[in-house]
Amino acid sequence: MEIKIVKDILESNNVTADENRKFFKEKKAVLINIMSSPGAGKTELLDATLGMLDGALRCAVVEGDICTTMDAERLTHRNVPLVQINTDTLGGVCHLEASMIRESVANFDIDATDVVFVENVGNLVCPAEFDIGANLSVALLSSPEGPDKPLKYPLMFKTCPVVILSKMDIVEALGVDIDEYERNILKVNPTAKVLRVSAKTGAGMDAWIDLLKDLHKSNVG
Amino acid sequence: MHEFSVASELVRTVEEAFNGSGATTPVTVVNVIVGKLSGVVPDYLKHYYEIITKDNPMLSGAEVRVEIQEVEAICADCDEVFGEDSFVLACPKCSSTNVVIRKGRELMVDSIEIDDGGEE
Repeated sequence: MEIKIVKDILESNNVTADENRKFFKEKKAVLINIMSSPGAGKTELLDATLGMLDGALRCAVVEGDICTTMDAERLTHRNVPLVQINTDTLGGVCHLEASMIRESVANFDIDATDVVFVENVGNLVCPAEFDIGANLSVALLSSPEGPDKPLKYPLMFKTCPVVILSKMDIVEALGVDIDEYERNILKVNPTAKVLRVSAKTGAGMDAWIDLLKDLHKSNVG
Repeated sequence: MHEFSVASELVRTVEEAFNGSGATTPVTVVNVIVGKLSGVVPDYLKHYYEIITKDNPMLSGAEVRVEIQEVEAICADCDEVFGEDSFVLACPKCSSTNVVIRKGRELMVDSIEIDDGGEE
């Protein structure tokens, strides 16, 4: 006897991701998933972003790491609601999933929040495979990492409509051809919006902030 | 990647279907469709299925039969349909990389088979 099932094995994550999307729409807030390899500058970018959005958009942050609360501690001076997920308590998972975000958001006053930033676990492979229900997925590629990374990790760069080239302030010192980084991103994702940013110096941050404000406006309008 | 968590979800889905069927004899086959770009290695999936179900005699003896779904992509610029085992796809007709992957990322439980002893 054959029993037909015809079900996506990862359905439960995708169902929760859709629920997250619906929830955020109802609450007139946006969820942004920030991903990259470890050390590409996600926390630094968030730190600068929170500073520039202060007074403009009410933000909250979900930090994802296997261990430690170091990233959340770095951001406490921004005085925004913060939750740190440590996946070592969940089996050492190398990415965040939709259900983790759903549980974390319960810690915020979502009615008084405009944007929830999720800093995903540093990893160019797995986070791209798990939809968390974000309105926008953003990948960071930092200038020291090499122009080949989009070609080596295509799923990440293909699934992110926005790619931030970070640590632009050291491009000259590194002697890299940053145009090649952008060419490879566009090879994998021809419609990606590529922003060149230095969270340290502020270069290029205005375009990123404008993008966030426009995203919020178009989602809650 | 993540064959263990995928296998866990697979077992949960199979268990749900089995319990819902009211069957009293074990599952003999679990039919799964794995896309070439899904990132899942079938042998690891089978291996973790065995580990996770080892204490469940209704599921543990089942053969996990994997059908590989080949990649099918369509060029958004010239509508050419083609297949290639890569996420970085260029249209063979017009060389555009503006390509949509239509098939090849699936991870699906298609069906389970239960030995009903040849009963009608």
